[in-house]
Amino acid sequence: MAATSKPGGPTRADRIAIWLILGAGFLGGAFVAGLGLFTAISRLIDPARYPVSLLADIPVEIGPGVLQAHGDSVVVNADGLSPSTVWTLAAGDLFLALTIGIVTVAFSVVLLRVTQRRPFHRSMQIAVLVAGCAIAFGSLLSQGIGGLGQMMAATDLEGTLGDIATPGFLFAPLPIIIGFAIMALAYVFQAGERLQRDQEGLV
Amino acid sequence: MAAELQTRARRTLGLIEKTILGVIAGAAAAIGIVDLVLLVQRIVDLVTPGPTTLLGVHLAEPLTPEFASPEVSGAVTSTVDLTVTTLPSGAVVALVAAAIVTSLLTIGICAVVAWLCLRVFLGKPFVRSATWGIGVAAILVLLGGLGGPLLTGIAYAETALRLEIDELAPFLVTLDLAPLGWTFALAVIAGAFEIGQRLQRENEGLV
Repeated sequence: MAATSKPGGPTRADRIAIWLILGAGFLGGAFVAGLGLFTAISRLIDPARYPVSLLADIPVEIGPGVLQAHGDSVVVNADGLSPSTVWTLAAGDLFLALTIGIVTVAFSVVLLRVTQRRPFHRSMQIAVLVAGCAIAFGSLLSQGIGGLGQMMAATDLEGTLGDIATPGFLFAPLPIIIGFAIMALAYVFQAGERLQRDQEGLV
Repeated sequence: MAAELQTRARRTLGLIEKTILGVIAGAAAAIGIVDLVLLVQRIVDLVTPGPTTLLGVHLAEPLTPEFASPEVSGAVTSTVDLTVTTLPSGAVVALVAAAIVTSLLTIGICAVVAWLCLRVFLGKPFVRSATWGIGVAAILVLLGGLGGPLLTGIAYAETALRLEIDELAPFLVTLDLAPLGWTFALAVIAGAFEIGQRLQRENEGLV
């Protein structure tokens, strides 16, 4: 009877595969987050060394068959950015690194619980909720603050680059939608936890 | 019977939870429908003869715009937005395929999210269709995330080749490996759903 109260977990082969994914995912995520953090700090120390990508409108001459061509972005290494612009760009990098770091840890907790045959543990629900919030609000903040930094950089370099750089930034709404979808998953895990509790009470 | 009532009472969602789930399900359904309309519009634009704009086409050699200031140590542009009079048929096919796989990803995820919210709302989230839905979403993430950029790269390369534009890169694709990670994550979640399905069945048998 006790056997029915514990949910059947993954097989040995599945567990090895999950451990491999967990290891690769954690290392990859930690590396990208660490790189982001390093970029944010280095940008503050030596702004000219770390480039900033700006929206642009650069007319380009290309052969027949092409009605119109223009460069859509320009990558600039500049020393003349104001301190507020550099700090804003660094904050954008920092929020991105933090988002990646939080999502990596939450993802690792989820995988760890699955390998432990406890997919509906309370920590799973919290991890999914944290991952969803981090993706939704982290990407909103990193894109918003980073984009503001790009606009400030375009304004700072207006005199130098002329009309090439356009004050503006591209905003991707998909990560925010994915974040909310992951938050909805937390309710599913909550239902799973209740089911597990019910079963433990009934057996 | 008392245990059944207790179980049902525990599963009942609060008004706030119901509202949040309703909003998420509604938003997901709306985004899916809008994306479907945009997909049809994009396909019609591509197959209708006339000028077409290609976004973010890689240049063979990065361009350096003119500037004169010691404040800027370097400025390069490596992608262009291109408006061509007519697209080669191979490029049209590849761009239509890219638009379909990319939109299917969004539509598929939105459909799964809306379905999951509905199942949670009804108090029975662990059903076979939800597990399969997450599995299909995992495949769509892989197809859309890696296939979309690859097909777009093929279309741009075909355009550069047929229109003999030497300034464009012959074939250059920037692949992001994040969809691979998302696919694995979704596969694990599908596994958890299978366990949940079993729990739910056992629970129904015990009550």
